Amino acid sequence: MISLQNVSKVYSKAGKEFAAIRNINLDISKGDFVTIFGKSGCGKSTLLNIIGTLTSPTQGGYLFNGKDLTHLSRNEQALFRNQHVGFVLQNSALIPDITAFHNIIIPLKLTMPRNPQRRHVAEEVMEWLQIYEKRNNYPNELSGGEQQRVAIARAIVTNPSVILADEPTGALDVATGFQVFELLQKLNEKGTTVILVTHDMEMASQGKSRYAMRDGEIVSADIS
Amino acid sequence: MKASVRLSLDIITWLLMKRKLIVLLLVLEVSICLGLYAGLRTHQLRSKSKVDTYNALHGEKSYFVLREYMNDIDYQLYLKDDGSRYFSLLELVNQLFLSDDFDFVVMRDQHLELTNKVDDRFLLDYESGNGNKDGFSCEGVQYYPLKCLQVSEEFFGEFIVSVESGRAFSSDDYIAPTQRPATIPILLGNGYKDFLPIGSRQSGFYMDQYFSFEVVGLLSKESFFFSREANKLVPCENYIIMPAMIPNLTSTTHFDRARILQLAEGLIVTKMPFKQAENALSETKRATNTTHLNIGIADPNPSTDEHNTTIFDTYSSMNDSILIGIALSLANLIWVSVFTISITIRRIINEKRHEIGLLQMLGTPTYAIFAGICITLGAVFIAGWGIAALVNGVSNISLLVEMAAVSTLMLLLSLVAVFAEIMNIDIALAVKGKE
Repeated sequence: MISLQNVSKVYSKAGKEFAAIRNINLDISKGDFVTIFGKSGCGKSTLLNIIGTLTSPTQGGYLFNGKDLTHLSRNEQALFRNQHVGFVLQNSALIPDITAFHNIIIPLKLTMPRNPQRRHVAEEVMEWLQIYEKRNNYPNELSGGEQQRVAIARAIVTNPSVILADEPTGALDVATGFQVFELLQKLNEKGTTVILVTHDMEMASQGKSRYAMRDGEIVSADIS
Repeated sequence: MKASVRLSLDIITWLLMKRKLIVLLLVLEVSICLGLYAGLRTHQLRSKSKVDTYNALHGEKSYFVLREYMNDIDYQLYLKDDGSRYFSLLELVNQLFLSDDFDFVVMRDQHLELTNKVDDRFLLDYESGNGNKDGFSCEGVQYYPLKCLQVSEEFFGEFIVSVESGRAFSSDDYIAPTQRPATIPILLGNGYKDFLPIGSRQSGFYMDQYFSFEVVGLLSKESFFFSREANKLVPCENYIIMPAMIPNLTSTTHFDRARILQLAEGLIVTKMPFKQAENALSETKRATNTTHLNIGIADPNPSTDEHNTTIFDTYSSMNDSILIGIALSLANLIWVSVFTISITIRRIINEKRHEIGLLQMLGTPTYAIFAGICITLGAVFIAGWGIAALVNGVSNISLLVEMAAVSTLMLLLSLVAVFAEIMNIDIALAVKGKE
């Protein structure tokens, strides 16, 4: 489903070059639950950003369902993200000026022209995630766990084939973090591919496919 | 595409609604800028309309200066003979007014010595630095020489001179008073507006004779006359205007003789070239038997007979220089506004970089976000345009369209910076902004 071939990402700052990831080769199958483990700054978020087309690789190739995504334009990348990818970030990354419901339907507005249809889909997801009662609350009126549930709802509302989760429990207490992780597992059980980046070894160990990164490179792989 | 533009428009409107004050200030800035534009253009259109009216009325005329060149002996003879020279001169002046070949405008610099100088700028020769600020004393009273033009009725039709308040001179004002002490009506340039009220009386000397002067009206700020000395249009601002009065024909006093000599000084207004105008004057002098009186047209340019200085050229060039000034001021104004609007919008984008990054992460295309900002900013400009038009009371369709065009230009220039800012957003960094 996802195939990264010899992918590197080099940043330039003040005339100096810095390689965030180097020569990454990675194949992810449909329905997999992938965890990528590593310390801060090892390049795991950069890798996730490349998979989510938030960043383009400096070199190497990226295939998604056999389609080369390496040279997509900004607008084509946006379309790809909307149709295939759901993001769950460490900070719930909600827009603070609008309600939970409006945050959730943002990706739907791009694909579903009819408002009742959007409302129906969004409410279904909110009920599943047990945040329906909070639909009219603004993000700052929600707890950390509730905010993350809203973020997950926004990520899955378009029924994407891949969920990219970047330290989704990093800002939560252990119990809430566990609930969020369970939700991701449930999504995976429903057939959604989940790629989770974490520096929590215990969480990383629960992935079906487990990778460890150091200094921009994959140093170990334990593929189920 | 439609859905994504609508989405970004929704979100950007939400974002801006949280910044109502900034949005209001932007609208205010646009409306001030367009309001000033409308004000300046209205003024310019009015001036242009005056030039057009003037041109339609008078065409491209030449102004030749008529003056007397009597030497001392001739002048003494004129003052002291049996009156024949005086009556001949009167006849010549009459014929000048009646000529079919040209128009004749009496316009003579004749200072008045009044007891109230009001302000130094009204003093005779103030511009050259030779104004007599101390004046002179006569029987214990202080008098000051003030700039004054003595003009015939034709002056007001020939030049761009209008009365703002009070009244213009009536036909009776051009007839010299026979009884003393006499009162002479005067009009004041707009510079006197805050100093001498209409209806007030000033006393002083006119050609060494004591008179009372009654202020009958105030000229508008846009009143100009053609100065033969400066060879350009001069504002009436700091001048007193008094009527060139026709004397009583039975009187042949020195005062009347000297004064009627002044009536022979003014402008010959014609479309003829200089030589032809000079010949026409010679004809009139022959017909009135005044060839012996040394009165003639001053050669505007001794090196060529064909030189024409038209008042229209002078007015046009003055108008052009004002136009250039206005255009430069407007260009600066628009530039500054575009700069500040761009800075403000860029600042809002920077503050909302996280939210814009999120929209892009969720699949909103860049063009949709740009379109959303375009539409929102467009609404700001439309509001500014509407307010500017309302406040200035602009009803002229072409000016409204012009304002809309300026507003669109400002919008497009502002959007260049906005576009660069949006293209510069690194989505991955932006969405992590508040970690």
